[in-house]
Amino acid sequence: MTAGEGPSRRVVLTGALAVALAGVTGCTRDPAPTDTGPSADRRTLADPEPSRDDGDVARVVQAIAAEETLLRYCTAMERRHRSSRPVLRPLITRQRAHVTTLRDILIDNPAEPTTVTPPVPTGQRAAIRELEGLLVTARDERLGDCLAVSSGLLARVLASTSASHACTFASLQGQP
Amino acid sequence: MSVVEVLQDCLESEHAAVYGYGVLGGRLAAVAAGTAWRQLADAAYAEHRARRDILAELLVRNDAVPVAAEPAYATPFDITTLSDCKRLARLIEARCSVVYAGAVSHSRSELRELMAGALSDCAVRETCWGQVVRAFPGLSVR
Repeated sequence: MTAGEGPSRRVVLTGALAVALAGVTGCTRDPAPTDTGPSADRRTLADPEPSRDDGDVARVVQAIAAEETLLRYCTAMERRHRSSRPVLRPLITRQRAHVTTLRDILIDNPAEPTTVTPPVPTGQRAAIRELEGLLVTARDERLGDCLAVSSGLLARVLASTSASHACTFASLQGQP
Repeated sequence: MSVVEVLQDCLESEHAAVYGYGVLGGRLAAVAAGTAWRQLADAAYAEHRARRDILAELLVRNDAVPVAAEPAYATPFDITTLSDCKRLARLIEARCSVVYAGAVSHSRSELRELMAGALSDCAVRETCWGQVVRAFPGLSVR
């Protein structure tokens, strides 16, 4: 459960994961069933291999919050350091894709996160160093999420998200 | 999909990658000797060989016979220039990424960790070869 949700609210992860994956891969498939059987007081995931694992739901909710934090840092850094825009624009686009895909996995989206966006340092090099640190954290956390979830399809999305962060980190290392 | 099937898929992919980097190494020796590209290819070749050997060992531990490499693999286009080499390397890594991403969804615990690590390594190498970073390596074509 996350802050802002009533104790009796139920969230489900069941057909939406397939839909989210189809969006990522460009595949089309039949609409996911919307009746996932939420009956009392929790969320559910959508997945062709339906996962009603509370742990999976909690991992997705945490991952959304973390990816949104990284997205907010990138947009704040873009405002503060205009010259970094060529690097940050594609990163922001990818971050939005990560957030959207993870959000689409949940049938019932979580409330807006209450996490604090890390402040953007005044110096550009320091800001990039901070970004690199956030990327490493995100990479490791998504990998940890991948290893922890029971749903195989969800694990695949999380592993891919982690790999994307690893690539972004590597590309930043190649920046002058 | 069984563990053995997952491992065999990955091993087949690594056989092709090792072959592809062998082709690349020969061509790069001619068109980019002594450059960082040659070093990158040498490192990637070694990493794919190492991964191949790990997968073969895991299959033996699972009482399976590791799938053998084909005598040769067709390259999808002529490898003549440095640009061709980079393109082929990106293709090799992208194909391996797709296989490992699929393997993640069919594995658990230590095996899933191995597959996720391999996915990340392939995606990073693809980036090093000039691929624009993808939002979902192994899943998306963009």
